[in-house]
Order: sequence, then structure tokens, then C-alpha cells
Amino acid sequence: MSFSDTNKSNSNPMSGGTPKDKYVDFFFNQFGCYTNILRSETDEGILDRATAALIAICPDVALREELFKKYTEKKGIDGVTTASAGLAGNFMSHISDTLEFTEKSYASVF
Amino acid sequence: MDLTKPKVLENGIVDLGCSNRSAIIRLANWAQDLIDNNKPIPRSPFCKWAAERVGSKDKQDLTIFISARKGKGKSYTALYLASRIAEEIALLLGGKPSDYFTIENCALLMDSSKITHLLSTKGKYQVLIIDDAGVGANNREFLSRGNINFNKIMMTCRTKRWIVIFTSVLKSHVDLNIREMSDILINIYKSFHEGGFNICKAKNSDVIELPNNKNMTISKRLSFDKDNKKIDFWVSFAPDRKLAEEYDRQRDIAADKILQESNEQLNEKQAGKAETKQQELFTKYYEKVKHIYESEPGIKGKEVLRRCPGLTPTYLDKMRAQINAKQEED
Repeated sequence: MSFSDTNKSNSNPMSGGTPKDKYVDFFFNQFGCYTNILRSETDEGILDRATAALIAICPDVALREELFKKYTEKKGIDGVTTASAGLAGNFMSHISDTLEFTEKSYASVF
Repeated sequence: MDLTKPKVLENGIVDLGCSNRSAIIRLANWAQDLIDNNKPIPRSPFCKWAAERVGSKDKQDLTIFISARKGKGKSYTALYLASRIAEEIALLLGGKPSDYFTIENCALLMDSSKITHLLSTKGKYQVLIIDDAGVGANNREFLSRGNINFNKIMMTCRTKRWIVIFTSVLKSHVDLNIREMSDILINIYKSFHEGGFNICKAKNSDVIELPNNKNMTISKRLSFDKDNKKIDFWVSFAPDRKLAEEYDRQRDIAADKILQESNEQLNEKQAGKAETKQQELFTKYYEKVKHIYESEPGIKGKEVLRRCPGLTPTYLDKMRAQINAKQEED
């Protein structure tokens, strides 16, 4: 399985919405493919390239560099698979914060 | 790491975690922990904002409306809030908190003339409480002199930079003008009397005039930080014990006074009614009754009453007593 095989949103000229909507659509397709690879791929070389490709689609420059730095550091210590899983988690947390998947409650005192 | 424990962020904002039903429980536990362990209460972003609003160059005033069912803690919340705002004003402008708020600044169940007097004698940057505003600024007496005076003062209170806190069971119990001029609406959402705190919801209120001569009120949750975090709940703690005791004492006196005034008014009204009725009956039947008794001595009262429709035995007795007295005089 490769990224291009299931790259639906990117190939669909009818996909509508704002650029943000389009990116979200694109991202989740890519992320779905990536987790499939992470789950099934035993070849570390392929997984490493898939992770690099996922990092590359991060729209935020600073975050992209931070993710890449953390990934390469962790890869040297824990191996490709563990580092990739960690990266996927960090990336999803960032997306969750951006898209506010988790609604939070705030309080204060009088 | 305890993921469910609320975290105090900058500006006194508390992160409760996920927005779900247990968020309020997490907040209650956090508030109880502050009280039980005598932990310092974070500085209030609301009170800081309120103090800056009246104390800065903006030349603003602030009207706060607290509503809740009876016994939910409106008055204590108002007292606590007023004290905290006074502390912030003192920090901003100098002086002591008591320069800006004391028990003298509270109008307790008073009628509108007394509220008007209180408001017109207070100086600048004062925090005032109009407790149970329905008594002083009742919506059913919207054209009364007291309400009109009160509204005039409310409209000009900006120059004095007051913070006026109204409390009432329902917003609709209070005069419309006051309701529309309220900047902040606070509702006591959950009372924890035994714990020593209340959880409130607060919104800012803005009235927009629509083209069809109607008004629309827009309420939004408050936010005070750069990330625009909307604050869902507010905690108000118990006010200073001495202040609360004095408040309760004065409130009892005010309640007795109101009751006494109501009774006096009722008695006066009833007395006035009886007097008018007596006068009417005397004008109508006095001469007739006098003539009946002169022409038919020994006639029964029942017969006299039959000939004079509307006359009652009580008024007939009074009439006879007056006739006899006059005859004796002559």
C-alpha cells in the first residue's frame, strides 16, 4: 500500500469547501493510510519514508521542524516503529488543538 | 499526572479539561480544596477588569445583575463580588478597599426613594449593592416617581463611575430600563452552601436596536485572555464573616421595616375606604333615617334597612347614635 493509492481527496477535483476544509480532508486521508502502514509494515525503510512523508504535509513550519527533530532523535534511541507511533500521536494532538476536537471548559473566580 | 485535576492558568483562569457534565464537579472539588486547605484564591480576572473599567481613562460604569432562586446565595455572592472588586479598585487607585465598598453601600429591600437617596449621596468609584431590586425598582411600578428617579440616576451613574450590583429572583421582576442597562448578567448555577461557595454563570449583555423598533439582547460568555478562552463557570466564595453578619442584621431590620410599612399602608387604605363609604351613606340616608325615626318611633331596624338599600346595620347604628347625640344637644 502506498500513499498515492488511496489519495482520494487530492485527486478529486469536485472536493469543495475552504482551503482549510480541503487540507483537513487531505490530511485525514493521508493519516489513515499512514496508520495502516504503521500497523502492518515490517520493513523499517518503508515506514521511515512514510513517516517523513507525513511530516512533510505538516503546514506549520516550526512544528514540522520540531516533529522531524523529535522523530530523528527518538528513532536513534527507540527505533523507527516506536518513534513513528510517537510522531503520529504528536501530530494528531496538534491537529486536535487546531481543530478543537476536544471542547474544553474553563472557569475562574470572582 | 492527574489529567482530570483542574489547572490554574495565567490570569486566574482554571482549565477544567473536557467540556462534559463532570466539569462542574471537577471545579467544585477544586474550589473545596482551596477552602479546606486555606489555599490562596487566585486573582479574579473579572474583578480586575471591572476595576480597570471604572478606574481607567475609559470613563465607564458597570452594572451587574445577579439572579437566582430564593436562598441560592445571591446576596452573599453580591457581597463577595463587591468586596473583591473594591480590593481591585484599591490596588488600582490607591486607598483601602473600604474606601470603595462598605455595608453602607448596600440598599437592602429598601423602597426606591431610599435607594435614590443612597445613590445620590455616594461619591466616585463606589461599588453598590441593590439587594432584592424587585422591592425598590419593581417592574409593576414602572411609572412611579421612585422608579423614574432611579432610572435617571442609573443613566447618569457613568460620571460617578459606579459599579452597581443588582440582585433579584428573576430579571423580569425588575424595571425594564435597569434590565436593559445591565452589562453583566450573573446566574447562580449551583449552590454549595455547606462548602462555602457558589458556582455561577456569567455573560455580558448587549442590547441592539432592530429596525422594527424592537430590541434584541445578545449575551456572550466572558473571556479575559489573549486566546479568547470562554469562561463557562465562575466561583464565588463566602464573603467576610463580619460583613455577612452585619449584612444579615441590617437585612432583618429592613425586612421588618418593609413589613411594618406595608401594614401601615394597608391599614391606611382600609381606613380610607371605610371613611369614604360612611360619608357616602350618611349623605344619602342621614336625613331619610332621621325622618323615619321621628315619624315612626319604635320602628324596627330591619324595616329601616329594607327602606334604605345599601345601608348596613353598622352604619345604621352609627347614624342613630349621631341622631340621638344631636337630639340631646338640641
